[in-house]
Amino acid sequence: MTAEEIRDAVRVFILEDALVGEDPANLTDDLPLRTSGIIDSMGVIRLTSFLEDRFGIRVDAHETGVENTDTVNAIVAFVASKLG
Amino acid sequence: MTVTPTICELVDASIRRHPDRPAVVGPDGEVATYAMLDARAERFAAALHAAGVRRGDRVGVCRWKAADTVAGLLGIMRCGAAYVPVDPASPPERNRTIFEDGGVRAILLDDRTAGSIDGVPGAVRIVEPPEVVEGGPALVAPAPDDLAYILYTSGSTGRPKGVCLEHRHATSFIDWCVRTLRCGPEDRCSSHAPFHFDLSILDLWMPLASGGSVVLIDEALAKDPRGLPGVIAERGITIWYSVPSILSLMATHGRLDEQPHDTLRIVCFAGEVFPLPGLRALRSAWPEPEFWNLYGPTETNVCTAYRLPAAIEETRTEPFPIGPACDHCEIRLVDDEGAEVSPGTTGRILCRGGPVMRTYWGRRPEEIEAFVRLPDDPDGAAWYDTGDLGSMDDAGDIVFHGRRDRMVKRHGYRIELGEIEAGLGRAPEIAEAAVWSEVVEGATVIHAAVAAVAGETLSIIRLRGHCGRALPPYMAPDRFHVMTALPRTSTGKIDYPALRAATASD
Repeated sequence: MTAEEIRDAVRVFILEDALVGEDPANLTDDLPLRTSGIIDSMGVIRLTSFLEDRFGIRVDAHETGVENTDTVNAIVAFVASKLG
Repeated sequence: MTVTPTICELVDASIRRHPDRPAVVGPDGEVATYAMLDARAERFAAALHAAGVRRGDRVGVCRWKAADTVAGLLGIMRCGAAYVPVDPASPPERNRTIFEDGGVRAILLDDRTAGSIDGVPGAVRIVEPPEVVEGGPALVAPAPDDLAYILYTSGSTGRPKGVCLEHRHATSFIDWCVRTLRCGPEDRCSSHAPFHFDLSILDLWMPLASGGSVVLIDEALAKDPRGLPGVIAERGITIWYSVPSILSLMATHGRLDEQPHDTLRIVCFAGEVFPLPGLRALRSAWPEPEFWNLYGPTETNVCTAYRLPAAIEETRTEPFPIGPACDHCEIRLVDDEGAEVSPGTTGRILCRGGPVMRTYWGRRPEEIEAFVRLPDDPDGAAWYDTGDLGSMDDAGDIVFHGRRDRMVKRHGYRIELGEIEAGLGRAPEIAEAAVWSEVVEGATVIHAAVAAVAGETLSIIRLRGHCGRALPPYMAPDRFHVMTALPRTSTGKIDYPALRAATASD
């Protein structure tokens, strides 16, 4: 799976989960998601489940912090590192 | 059964009996013994006394969870003052409003919150209390009918309101907890709820009244269903207490089969209805411990309790009842005229007795509409009308039927939808906002319809940013619906049924 395929899937998830009604163009790859309140603690749980189901990876408790989940770029890099 | 009159006396008895036992286990695992807790509380009390705090005053607390925060609460009460805890994760503006409303004389802060609150008139800020000089000040201990704490909950007009609890209210509840859950020196009790939330009263003062330990769970970990089962295993938790929503998440996302839970003997939950699917999943992962459903608003703390059966019948489709009244209070179900309803009929849930609050801060009890007298007992003590509805089943247990008003529960927090509307209305680009909720698969989903002021375009990203600055995290709407204007009824009120219909397909 390419980084672009991961990025598309992550973007669709975030737009449908947290940003219904937003212009997709405004979801930039470096938009802060956690620190801005777009993804809250429940949103992280949904995001994590989505990533596990969609990409067949296992995400551990210590891996869901801001460093891996605050931006689309960070999420894509995290998933890519899991997929090796 | 005599009830010990103040929280301080209960904890002091444990300090004398068990000075070397662990009292508080910090989020990092660091242990404070009862003797250490005592010494730290004394330092806070001396610093507060030096700052002018006296019996009858209020002291704000904006600190993250730590053994020292618990010592701070105890120190405040040792001065005869009431503690006023706020959520460090809430917007500083909301916390400042609470401290100003409560007229706090001092505020306890920590290294992380010291920069967030300033400019509360008349309040001395204390981050690290200095060493106690020889002897310490002559403190005036609280009386049973002094206020122990004020917990601010969501207010329908947009301003939080302060629920005032006296020591005797708290200790009547703590006494019930210790007896019912048989809490003792061997117990290690979870402190999952933040300290501004009423679940923390059981978490903190039940174990400290019984010589047991409080195991503090930090705020980030508390929201992480993957991390919590490891805490239960590593810390050897014996009594767990939290809202059902995190237990549900632990059952579905927590990989409970990978962590031992053999120390766990009691699991309590309160704050909202536990939907059956999550409860079944949790029960099958944890078949051994007792499960208790506790019920009660902040104004009464727990007033009914129901012990769940060991096995959940396959045929059950409805949530469990909330149980009979606890023995430290009375419950009555009445109709709109105040007459007791017959079994099976839905009525208002009223409570009076040991744990019921004195008043809301700044209001006289007789001004509070929720304090009612009943026609068959016009001269008797007032009842507190919880705003909840319930009916009595054949076994004498109360079945919960929801709210009469616009208050909803999410993750156990009570939320007045009007407070969210007021918070959204503070965004300069929003002309009007209407908020409603629905329950989807047992979870509360909050919707907000917003209309922009002329010439502005509303962005969901910016709306979420505004919520982060104006509202506590648990109040942020799940879904926004941007409209050109909100539908209104012929009398000019927001037409909520029309709103729901117009947004149902969004």
